[in-house]
Amino acid sequence: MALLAIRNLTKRFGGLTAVDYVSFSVNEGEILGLIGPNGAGKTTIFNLITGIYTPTEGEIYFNGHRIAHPPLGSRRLVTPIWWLQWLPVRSVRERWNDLRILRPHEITELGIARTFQTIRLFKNMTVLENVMAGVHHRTRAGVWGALFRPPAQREEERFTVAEAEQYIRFMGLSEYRDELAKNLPYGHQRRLEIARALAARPRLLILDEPAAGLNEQETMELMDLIRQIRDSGITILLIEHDMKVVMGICERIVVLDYGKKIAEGTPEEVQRDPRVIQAYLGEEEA
Amino acid sequence: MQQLLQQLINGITIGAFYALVALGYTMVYGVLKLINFAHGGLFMWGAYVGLTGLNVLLVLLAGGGAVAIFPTAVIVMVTIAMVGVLVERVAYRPLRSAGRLAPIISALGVAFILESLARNVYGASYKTYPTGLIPVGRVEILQGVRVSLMQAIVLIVSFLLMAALYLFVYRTRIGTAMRAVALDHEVSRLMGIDVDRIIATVFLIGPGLGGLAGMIVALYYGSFDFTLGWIFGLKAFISAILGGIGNIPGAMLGGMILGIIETLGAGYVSPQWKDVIAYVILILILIFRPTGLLGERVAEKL
Amino acid sequence: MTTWRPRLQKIPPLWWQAGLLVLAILLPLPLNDYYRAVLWRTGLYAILGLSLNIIVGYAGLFQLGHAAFYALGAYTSALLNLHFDIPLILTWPASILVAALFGYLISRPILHLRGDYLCIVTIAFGEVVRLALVNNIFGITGGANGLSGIDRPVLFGLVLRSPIHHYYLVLFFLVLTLFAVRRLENSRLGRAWMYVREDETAAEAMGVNTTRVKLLAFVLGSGWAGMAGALYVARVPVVSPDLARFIESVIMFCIVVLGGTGSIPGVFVGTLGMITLPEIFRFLKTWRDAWMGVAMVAMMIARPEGLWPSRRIRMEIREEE
Repeated sequence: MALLAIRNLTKRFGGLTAVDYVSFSVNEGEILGLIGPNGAGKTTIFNLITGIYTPTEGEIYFNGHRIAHPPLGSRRLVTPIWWLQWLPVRSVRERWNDLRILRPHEITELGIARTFQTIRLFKNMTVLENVMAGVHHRTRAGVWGALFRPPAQREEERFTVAEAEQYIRFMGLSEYRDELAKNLPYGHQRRLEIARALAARPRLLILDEPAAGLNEQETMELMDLIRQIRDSGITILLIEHDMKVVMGICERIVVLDYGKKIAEGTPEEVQRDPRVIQAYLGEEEA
Repeated sequence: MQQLLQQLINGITIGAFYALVALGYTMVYGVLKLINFAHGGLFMWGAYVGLTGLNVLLVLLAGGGAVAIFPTAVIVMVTIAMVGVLVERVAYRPLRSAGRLAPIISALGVAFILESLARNVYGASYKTYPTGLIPVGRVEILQGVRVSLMQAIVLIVSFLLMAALYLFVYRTRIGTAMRAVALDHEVSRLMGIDVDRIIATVFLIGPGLGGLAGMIVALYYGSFDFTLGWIFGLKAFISAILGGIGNIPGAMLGGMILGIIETLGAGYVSPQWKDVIAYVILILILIFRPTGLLGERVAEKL
Repeated sequence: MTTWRPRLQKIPPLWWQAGLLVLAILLPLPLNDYYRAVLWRTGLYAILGLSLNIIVGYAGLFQLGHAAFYALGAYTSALLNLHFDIPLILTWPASILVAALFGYLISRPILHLRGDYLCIVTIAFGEVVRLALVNNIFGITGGANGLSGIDRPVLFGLVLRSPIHHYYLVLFFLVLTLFAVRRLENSRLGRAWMYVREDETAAEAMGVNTTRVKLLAFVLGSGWAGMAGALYVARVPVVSPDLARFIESVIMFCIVVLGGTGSIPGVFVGTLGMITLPEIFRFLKTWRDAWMGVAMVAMMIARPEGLWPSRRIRMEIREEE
C-alpha cells in the first residue's frame, strides 16, 4: 500500500519549472531512492513534501491525508478568510481544513520527518537539546507548565530526556550527549540530524543526501543504520548521489532529470534504462 | 479636482525628499543588510551644515543671494559624504562579521551621537534658513493649480540626481560591482572586487545624497530642529521598504507614493493622522507583500 | 583572578541568590531619596529588559517597539483608576491583559516576517500607538499632555508614597520576573524559542509550531511590559505619550543587546549601562546622549556578543568570524 503518493506534482519558480508533473508513490516499509543529476528537482520535491514549498500543481497524499495541494488562486486571497475556521458551522470548518495549506509542523505531526542536505542543526545547543526538538510535537507543556512545574510537566520533561537519549544511543552519539552540536565531527553531525528526525517518531523518514561528505567507513555504517531504521518499521525516502549507497540499500529508485521523472524501478532496471544512462552521461560531458 | 491636483504636486515634492533619503537607506541595506539608523542623523546634519555654509557664504559674498546655494550644496554633499564614510569605517566595518544585532546597536549609537552633537552645537531651538534666496514665484499650470519655483527646483534637482544615480548603478563598472557586492560579498571578493572600497563608495553616495536632501528640505520648509532626522529618517526608510529594499528605482517609487499618500491623507482625512496613515501603509505592505512593490521574491536556499 | 574563581563557584547557587537578594534589600537604606529613585528606575527597566529579552533574546525576534506596550499598561492602569475609581493595585491585572492582548493583535499578522522587516514593523506599530495617544484617540488619552491626578497605590492600608516603598515594590516584581523567566528558559517552551532563534526552518520541520511559539513570546513579553507600565504609574501619577517614544524602545532594546542577548545577568548589566550610569552622569546634561552613543559603538566593537553573554550566544557570534 502506498504510504506517500505524489500526483502530477509541479513547482514553478517564476519561469523555471523545478518539478514537472512528477508522480510516484512510496510503499509502506520500503527504502525508495530519488536520484538524478544536480538541479533535477529532488530537494524541491522534499521541500514540497515537508510543506516548506507549496506546489504550483498536483497533490501529495500521505497515509490518506492530502498534505499538499496548490493554493486556492493565490495565498493572499485565502489569508483574509482564516477566521472562517472558528465559525461554529461544521461544514465550513471542514471546507476550511480542506482548502488550507498544511504548515510544515503539521506535516511532521502527521508522521513525516526529514534531514537537510546542508546540515541544519541547532548549532549552539547540545546534542541532547537537539534531539529533544524531535520530541517537541509529542509533548504538550505550555506556559502554565513552565511556570508552575506541575507533576505532569516534570514527568513530561523526564519523558522527553529519556526519549532523546534513546535515539542518541541508537545513533551511537551517547558520549557526545552534552557537547554542542557544532563541535561534533561532520559525520556525527549527519547522524545527529537523523537522530533528531527519528525522535519525532515518523512513519516516513526523508533523508536528503545522508552520505554526502562521509568517508568509506562512515558510509558503510550509515547504510547499516538506514537498514536498521527501516527494519524498525519506518519507511524511508532518500536522495543520494553516492551510487554505492543507492544501489546498495534502495529497493526501488525514481530517477529525475530537469524536473521530470525519467525512470522508476529496481536498481537493476534503472541501471539498464537508456534514458538514465543518457542523463548521467550527458551530465558528465557537460 | 483642482485641489486634488494641487495636493498631488505637493505630495510629489515631499515624495522627492523621501526618495532622496530612501536611496541612502536602500543602498546601504543592499550591500550590508543593515538598517543604517544613523542615516537620519546624517540627513539632519546636511540641514545644519547647509545653514552654516549659507550664512558664511552670504557674509563672504556680501549677500550673493541664490548664487550662494550651489557652492553650499557642494560643501554639504562633500562634508556629509565624508562623515558617512567615517561612520562606516569606525562603527560598521569592525562589526561586519558580528551577527545582526551588534551593527544595529552600533548604528543606533551613531544616531545618538549625531543627534546629541547637533543639539549641543546648534541648540535645541528651531533654526531658520535665510529667507528670500529663492524668489517665491508661482506658475499656474492649470486653472487654480500652482507650482512654486521652489517646488520646481526641488523636483528637477531630485529627478536629475536620481537619474544620475540610476545610470551610475546600472551602467558603470563600479555600479555593477556594487550590485555584485549586494548579492554576495564572498563571491564578489573572489571575482576580484574590492568589497571594502565598494562599501565605502556606497557610504559616500548615500549620505552625500541624504545630506543634500537635508539642505533642500530645510530650504523648502524654512525651519527645522535637531529632531528632523528621526522623523524624516523613519519615513524615508518606510519609502525604501515600500518600493522594495535594496532596489534603487523602488526607493524612488516608494518615496513618491508615500509623499502623495501622506499629503492626500493630511488633506482629506486629518493632518494629525497623516503619520499614522504612513505607518499603517507600511505595516500593510509588509504583511501582504514583504518584498515591497518592486522587490523580487527571494526564495530562501534550503 | 584564577585563584578565587573556582572557590566562588563552589558556593551553591541558592546562596548566591539569597545573598544578592539581601544586598538588594539593604542597598537603598544608606542612600538618599534621589539614589533610591535611581534604584527604582533601574529595577523597573530591568523588568522591562527581562520582558523584552523573552522576545529578542530567547525567540530571536527583533522588537523595536516595546515601549508601546509599556505605555499601554501605564495608560490602562491610569484610565481605570481615573474613570472607574478602581484602586491602582486592582488595575494591574488589566494592564497586563491589555498589553498582552495588543501584543497578540499586533504580532499575529507580522510573525511571518524575518529579521529587519519585523524590526521596522514593530517600530511603526510603536509610533502608531504613540501618535494615537498624542491625538487623543477616542477622547480618553488626554492628548500630548497625557493624564494626571492618578491615585497612589494602597497596599494593606499603607499608601505607597516615598521612593523606598516603590523601590521595594519594584524589587518584589523583579524577583517574581526573574523566577518566571528562569523557569521559562528551562522548559519545553524555552527550548522551542531557542530552536526558532537558531534555525526557524529546522524547528518547523521538527514539528515546532513556530507561529504559536513566537506569538507566545510576544504575548508574554508585551504583557509583562504592561505590568512594568503599571508599576511606573504607581510611582509617577502622570502618564504621557512620551512613555511610548521610539527612544524608550531603543533603550530597552539596547539593555537586552548590550549586556548580551538571551542572558539574564546580561539584562542587569545592560540596565546598569543604559539607565543607572546615565542617571549618575546627569551632570553631562545634553552631552549625555552623545557619550551614550559613543559607549554603544565602542562596546559593540569591543564585545559584539555583549558584556555578559549567555554561553550560547557568545559562541554563536564568535563562530561567524
